[in-house]
Amino acid sequence: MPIFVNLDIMLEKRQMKSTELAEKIGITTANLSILKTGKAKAVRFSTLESICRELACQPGDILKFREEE
Amino acid sequence: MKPPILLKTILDVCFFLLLLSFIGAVFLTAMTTIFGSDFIPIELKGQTISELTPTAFVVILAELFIGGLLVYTIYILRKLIRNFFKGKLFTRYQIASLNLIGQLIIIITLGQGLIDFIATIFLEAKLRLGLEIDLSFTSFWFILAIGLFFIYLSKIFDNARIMKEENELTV
Repeated sequence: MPIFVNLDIMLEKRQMKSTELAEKIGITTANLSILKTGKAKAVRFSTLESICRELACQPGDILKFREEE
Repeated sequence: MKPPILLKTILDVCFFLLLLSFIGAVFLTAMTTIFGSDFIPIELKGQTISELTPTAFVVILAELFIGGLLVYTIYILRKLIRNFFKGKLFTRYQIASLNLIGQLIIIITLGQGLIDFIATIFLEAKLRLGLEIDLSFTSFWFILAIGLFFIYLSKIFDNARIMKEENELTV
C-alpha cells in the first residue's frame, strides 16, 4: 500500500513509548502495532484524532503517500 | 449464532443411508459381473437387464460413478456444516467447500441427464427429444440452479471474508 505510517518517527520525536501512547488513546498495543507496521487497512477518524491530540501533530505528520515502484 | 444441529442430523442420516445404498449397489454390480445377470436381476430405467452387454455395463458403471459423486457431495456438505460449529465464518475452507459442492451438483445433474439420454438410446433403442416440465423439486433446472447458487454463495462468502479482514485490520 502506498500509504506509510510514520508513527515511529513521531513517537521518537515526542520521546514517547508505544505502550504509553496506546494507553493514552485507548487502543490495545496489538492494534497500535498493526498501525505502526503498516498492516492496517483503515484508520478511524476517532483514532487519528486521539493520536494527533496526544502527539500534538497533524494527520499529515503521521500518514505519508509514497508512489510504489 | 446457534449451531445448525437439525441440519447436521439430517445430513448425517442422509449420508449414511446414501453410503449404504452405494456400497450395496457396488456389491450387487460386482456380483452380477461375476455370476451373470441371472444371479440378481438389475433394473435400469424401468427395464430389467436380461443380458449384461458391454453397453449396459458402461451405463451401470456411469450410474455408480454419479452415485459416488453424490455421496461425496453430501460428505463435503456434512463436513462444511460441522465446520460451522467451530464458530469461525467466511474461512477459505468454507469458501472452497461451497464452490466444490456447487460444481459437483452441476456435474451430477448434467451427468445424470447425459446418462439418461444415452441409456434411452442404447437400452430402449429409441431416441427421445422433447421439452418436459417437471413441477417438483427434482426438476433438472431447479437442481442446476441450486448448484449455481452454491457457487454464487461461495463468491459472497469470499467478499465477506475480505470485508471481515478489513474490519479486523481497522484501527
